[in-house]
Amino acid sequence: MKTKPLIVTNNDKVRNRCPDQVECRFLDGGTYLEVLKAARDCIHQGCRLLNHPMAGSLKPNQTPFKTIVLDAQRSEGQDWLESVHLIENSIEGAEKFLSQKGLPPWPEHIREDFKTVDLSLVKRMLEGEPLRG
Amino acid sequence: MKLELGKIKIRDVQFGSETRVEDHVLYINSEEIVKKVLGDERIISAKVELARPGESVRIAPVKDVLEPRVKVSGSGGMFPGFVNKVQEVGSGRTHALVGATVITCGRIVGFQEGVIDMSGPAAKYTPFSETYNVCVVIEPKEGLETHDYEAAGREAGLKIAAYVGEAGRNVEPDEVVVYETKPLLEQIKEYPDLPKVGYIHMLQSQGLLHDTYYYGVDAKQFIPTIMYPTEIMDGAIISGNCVAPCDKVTTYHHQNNPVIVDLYKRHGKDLNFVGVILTNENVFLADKERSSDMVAKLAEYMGLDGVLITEEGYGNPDTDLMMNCKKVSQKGVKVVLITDEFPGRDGKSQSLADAVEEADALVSCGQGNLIIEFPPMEKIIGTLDFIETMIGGYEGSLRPDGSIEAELQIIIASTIANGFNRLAARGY
Repeated sequence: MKTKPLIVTNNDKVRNRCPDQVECRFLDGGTYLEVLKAARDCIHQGCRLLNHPMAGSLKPNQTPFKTIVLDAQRSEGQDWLESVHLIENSIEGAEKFLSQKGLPPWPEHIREDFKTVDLSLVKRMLEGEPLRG
Repeated sequence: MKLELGKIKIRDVQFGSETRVEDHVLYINSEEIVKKVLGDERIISAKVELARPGESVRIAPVKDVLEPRVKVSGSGGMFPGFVNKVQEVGSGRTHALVGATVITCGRIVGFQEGVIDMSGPAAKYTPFSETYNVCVVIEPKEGLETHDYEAAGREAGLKIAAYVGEAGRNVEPDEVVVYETKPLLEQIKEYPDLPKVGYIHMLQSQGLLHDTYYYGVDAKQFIPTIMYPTEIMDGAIISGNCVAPCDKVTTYHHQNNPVIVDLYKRHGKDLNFVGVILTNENVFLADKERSSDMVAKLAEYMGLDGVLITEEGYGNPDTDLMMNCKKVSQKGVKVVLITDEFPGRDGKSQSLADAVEEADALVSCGQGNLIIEFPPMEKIIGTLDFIETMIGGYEGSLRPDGSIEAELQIIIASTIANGFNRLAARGY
């Protein structure tokens, strides 16, 4: 039996749209960096990235929200190593941006806009398109 | 495919009772524009303002910039799939009001878009300080869903650019430039001794406010394809992107793509420009693999000796850029990349989010992290309310006197990654 894809997110708009075929790990109040690190931990246990961790042109010190989609079937080999490489690079990149300038205290309506954009980046997945490959 | 592009030079813009061009002056009937924009019930107010080079004017936040053009002969109409029905464009004759633009501005979401200064020290970083701009400030209906408003703003710009472009239909152009690319086998035969060069044009396609359309289709929904270079000059590609102001490829930049125009300048002289490969920049890794595989396959299939590749955006698109570079290089095709850089304010960090060994030839369009000063302007078109939440702005950016301190990336097209700017990096 195939395992469900796993979503790690701190965006409740994504969580609320998650279909049954997807497992969602919701980090309530978690930061962008915490989402990346939680995804890294899953990857270290054998998950593989399905989306690019730095998707979207919004930089880690601009948007508070991040959603990572993982293939939860245990994998190894080159594909898996590429996921490790990509997530570590992304964490390093995020830390670089955040050390230059922290996340601004966005008002609620702007936070909502960021959530909508983050949701739009993974919407195809939530609508059930197969993305393993 | 052969296109005659008639350039009508515009040297001033004025309000008038009728939208028309006379003696290089563009007259604008603002009531008609407002009526057309308000025909869309998603928009509750629209206002037209004019901005000319040298004026003490700041435009913000900018959604899109478009060049008014009209299809005079040949199949299809401007912006196929939006303003006109889906039909092949790129041949026949097109007239462009060169030196004029339509700019859509107003709030989309709280953190987007950018700034155009018409004078002062920040003006030199954007090409639109040198054009005569018809600015359409729009306001959405309360409570409208973000996607709907983005679409309404985008469509308003296309509609108005096509409407203003009509004014050039019966005007004798100052200059007519002929662009022609033949079907592949004929084109290769025409200059058999010249290197066959292609252009890989990566279209931003990640999601809301990160989208681009080709004949009306969202670029994330197509697989890489081949385009005659002249199609883009008739508005086959339009922008729905409004995320990073500095390297956003506006619809104007698609219509006037500098890589295509410059390749044509050398076509038949020292290279044979055989065509454009269009591809996307997607979120999911499987899509990136598929698209870059297809790009490399098309480059090989076309028998290219060399390609130029441009991207739109920073971060995730750098991965697509590098995948394209690597796979196309592995097919034995020489690759030159064109992009901008984000190395941090001290310039010491990595400029791109990804890199491969094959990326050994790159043209830089400047770095977006430089901090610059914007003096106060007498007139604001739009609003300064969002300066601090725009990309490149930060808390304290906007001072009470209206002056601004911000990163270069807040200015529209300042480091645009296709070279339609004046910034570069040189090796010594």
